[in-house]
Amino acid sequence: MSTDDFRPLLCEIGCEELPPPSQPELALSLCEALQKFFERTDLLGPGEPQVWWTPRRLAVLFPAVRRHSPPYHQRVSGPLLARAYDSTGRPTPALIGFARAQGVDPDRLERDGARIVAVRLVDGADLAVALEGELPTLLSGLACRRRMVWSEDLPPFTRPIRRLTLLHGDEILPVHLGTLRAGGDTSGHRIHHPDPVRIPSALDYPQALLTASVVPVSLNGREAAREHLQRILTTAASTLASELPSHPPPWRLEFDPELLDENLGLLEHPAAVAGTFDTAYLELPEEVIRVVLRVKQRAFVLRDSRGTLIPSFVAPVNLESRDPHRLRRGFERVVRPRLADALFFFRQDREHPLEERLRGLSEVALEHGLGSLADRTQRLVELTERLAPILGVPRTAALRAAQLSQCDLLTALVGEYPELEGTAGGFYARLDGEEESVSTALAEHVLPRRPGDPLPQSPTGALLALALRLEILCGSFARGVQPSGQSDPMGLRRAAGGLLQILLAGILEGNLFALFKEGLAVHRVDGPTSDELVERLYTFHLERLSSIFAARTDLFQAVAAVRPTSPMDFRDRLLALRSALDRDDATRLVAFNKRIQNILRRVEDSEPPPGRPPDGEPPASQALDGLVTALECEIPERLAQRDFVTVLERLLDTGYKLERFFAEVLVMDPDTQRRLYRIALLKRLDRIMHAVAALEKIHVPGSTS
Amino acid sequence: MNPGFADVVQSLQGYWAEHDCAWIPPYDLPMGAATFHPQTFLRALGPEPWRAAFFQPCRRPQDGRYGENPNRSQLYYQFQVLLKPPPYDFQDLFLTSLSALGIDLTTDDVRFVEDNWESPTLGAWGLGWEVWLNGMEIAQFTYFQQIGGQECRPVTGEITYGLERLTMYLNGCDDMFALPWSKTGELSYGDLYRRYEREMSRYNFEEADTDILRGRFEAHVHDALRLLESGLVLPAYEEVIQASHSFNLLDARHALSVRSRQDHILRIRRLAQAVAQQYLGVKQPAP
Repeated sequence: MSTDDFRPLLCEIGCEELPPPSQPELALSLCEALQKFFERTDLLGPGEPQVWWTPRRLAVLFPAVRRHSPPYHQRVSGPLLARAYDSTGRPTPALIGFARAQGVDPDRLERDGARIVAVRLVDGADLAVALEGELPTLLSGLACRRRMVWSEDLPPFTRPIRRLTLLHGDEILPVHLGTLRAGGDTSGHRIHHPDPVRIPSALDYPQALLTASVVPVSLNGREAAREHLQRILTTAASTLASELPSHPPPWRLEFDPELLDENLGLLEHPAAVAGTFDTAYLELPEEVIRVVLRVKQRAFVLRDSRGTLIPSFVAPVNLESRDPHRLRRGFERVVRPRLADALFFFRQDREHPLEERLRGLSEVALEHGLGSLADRTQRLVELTERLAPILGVPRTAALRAAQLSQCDLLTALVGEYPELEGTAGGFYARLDGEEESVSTALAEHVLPRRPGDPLPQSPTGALLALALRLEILCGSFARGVQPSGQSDPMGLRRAAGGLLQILLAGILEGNLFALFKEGLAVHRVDGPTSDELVERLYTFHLERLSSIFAARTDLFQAVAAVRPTSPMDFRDRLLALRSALDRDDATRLVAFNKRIQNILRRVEDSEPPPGRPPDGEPPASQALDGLVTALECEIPERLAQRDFVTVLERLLDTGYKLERFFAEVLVMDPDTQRRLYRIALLKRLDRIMHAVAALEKIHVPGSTS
Repeated sequence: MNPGFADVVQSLQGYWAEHDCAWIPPYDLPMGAATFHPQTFLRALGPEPWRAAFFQPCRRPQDGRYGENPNRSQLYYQFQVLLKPPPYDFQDLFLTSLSALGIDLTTDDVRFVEDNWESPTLGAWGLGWEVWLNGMEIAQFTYFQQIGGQECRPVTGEITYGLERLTMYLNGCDDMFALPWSKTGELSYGDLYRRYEREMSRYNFEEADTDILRGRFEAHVHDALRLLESGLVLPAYEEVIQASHSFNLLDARHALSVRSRQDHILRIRRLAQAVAQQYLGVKQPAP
């Protein structure tokens, strides 16, 4: 076989059902690992790999991989030249030994600087042999959340690996993985196609899956897969229309990308079943019906054209049922008791107003020495009282909401469905006749539950949401509980992320330092301990902020260095910085800033500058002084308006005068008065330059640091 | 004719006996899950292969509903299958067992949904799935990774069927107490257990004497330690099972604070770990 015989390579790992979130992670990780491996072994040809996954398989197809890589010259360093030959120029035993070990004639050794080098022609890699050697390590290195052992002779993996398919063109690669031997078949859908399907050649893989009733998700087709599933769900739902004539079409599926993804991770052949439930269950708040169906059945709810919830559901299934009617009855029979249970809990909860549960709060202990839910409630009330004036939110409703905020944790419904925390407080408060702003705040204060969730929309809700997160964050930090590595038992990263998102939404604007101080105060921490913890909390939140903005590290660091007090302020600076860097002269400004820093680093602070410019300062120096004075006047005002764009423009405009200054003026003048004056001028300029960000931290083309 | 509760048990026993699983009697001590059965807990340790199947009454005092909730009870039955090491076609064997019960896999939707199992009291965990039949959990499917704090090598594959739910589904029945006990007789599940559920729920939630329970817990823990020191591993393990049940009762009575609850769990776990170590002959001082 010729060495440059590039052909498509298919690698499919057949598994028992992989957890939904790990399917794309693993498939992508498998692709990257194989690609690196083929590059390293010089087996990879041109072309983008394709990636697919289903619950039971991870697959990668490379358009061009060769069976053998060509022989190549390997260079092995040997002894130093000085040790290789004796004084008479004869090879030393060290050299002879090295040559023998490398299998090279001593006369054919080469020199590389001061060393002897053996150059050998080495055989290239054989695809099958190399893969067999690499696979166990490669699989162990994939991005797995949690590994398990199921067999003695296969590497631990997320779920058991049961099949290995390796096709190079039409050749089945003779590769073993433990007791598994690579084959040229793929497995079909469990029920629709129980027999294996032969894949004639690597490129036939997608067609083979289709034959086998398997619909994979591909890396570039995730949106298409969601849309496909949504279409199937909508079609299934429409079959119910004739049974529910009072709900005008078109019906709308409540769109929920997360639920769609979760479901896709459980399906090899997306299909759907739609069913109805008794209208009596519509007594339940809509949120409850939605959560019950979602959590227990991973099913979707439907609304009619007026937006009214329809007493029906639609659930994805992994089967084109031979008897759809029976399948539907099966699902309805499962849904009914779930809703019945929820309704039982709801009615039971409604026997007592939310307020009555205040008494029970002291019975529920919190972890990490944070006292009871009653203690938390008291801290939240106090914190709300402190924050309301700072953030400009009316206090009465906020205090009432804070007081009731933990009560729903004691309801039966939240006991059964923790996902309803907050939501339940909201509708119970509304039913109890609490003020609208109170019930809205209760429903909103748990938002965002996770990244991407909606944020509180009402000021009171946003305030309570902030207070809740501050209470947890400050309480935990005060007790030395901080996330480390993978472990974050109190969910502090999520709390911090939520806090920042709420502030970024712009309903409230808060100074982080002040917020942390108040949060610590309700945990009875003050003085130097408080200052230190405020610092730690600020750093912790900066880390979260960096992942929210996903900005260039150097730009983020440049802004972080000036310690913006609020996430909004941080974002505006970052945005201004990004657009300023588009200007051609940005590089020059950054370079000047670095230069100024270098000069200032070398001078000592001890001597005060002269009161007025020494006589006879050159025009370039005078011009710069004038410019700095003007900027010192203008910039604070611009900063107050957070007009960072203009500030940066002004700074960029200094470029010409600075250039002239550095070209014509020597800062370290032998004359002390001149030197001190010019240093003081640069210090003033440096301060102005840091108005938006620490510019010297920015990497620009051609800069070294 | 639809199978009764006892028929389902018999059918599963027959099916797994054909697949070389030893039929083991249920254990005669109250336990929260079949995993506590010594033939599960201890057999999952060590290198010897093991294939067994059995049904086991399980008690979860907190799940009692006075016989009024059609889906919940403080006593229920699990059917457990253990295959060590798990065979290549373990999932297929399970699916075939459903067919043997009369579930039509071309009509009903059966899926394996990620669910990771952990028993804090037994110091045990494993990875696997809950099995959904048309969206209802009917079984738990687990590859044990650790038991009593010991790595399992080889691992044991465990299937736990929820017998009541399965039979309810096969009968199209929404109330467990209305289930026929067998397809031939008049007897229902409720005839056997309704009154029992009512009275046991009262005991679990209202009448259980917490002082006595605390005393029992301490006595079982104490005795387990003593027996471990005398090298009597199996009797010590029986004390662990009973300590765990006393703990469950105390929990149902809300007699434990969060911290003391954690503490009780930890004490049982330490004992379970010591039992596992001594069973394997690992020399360790008793906790």
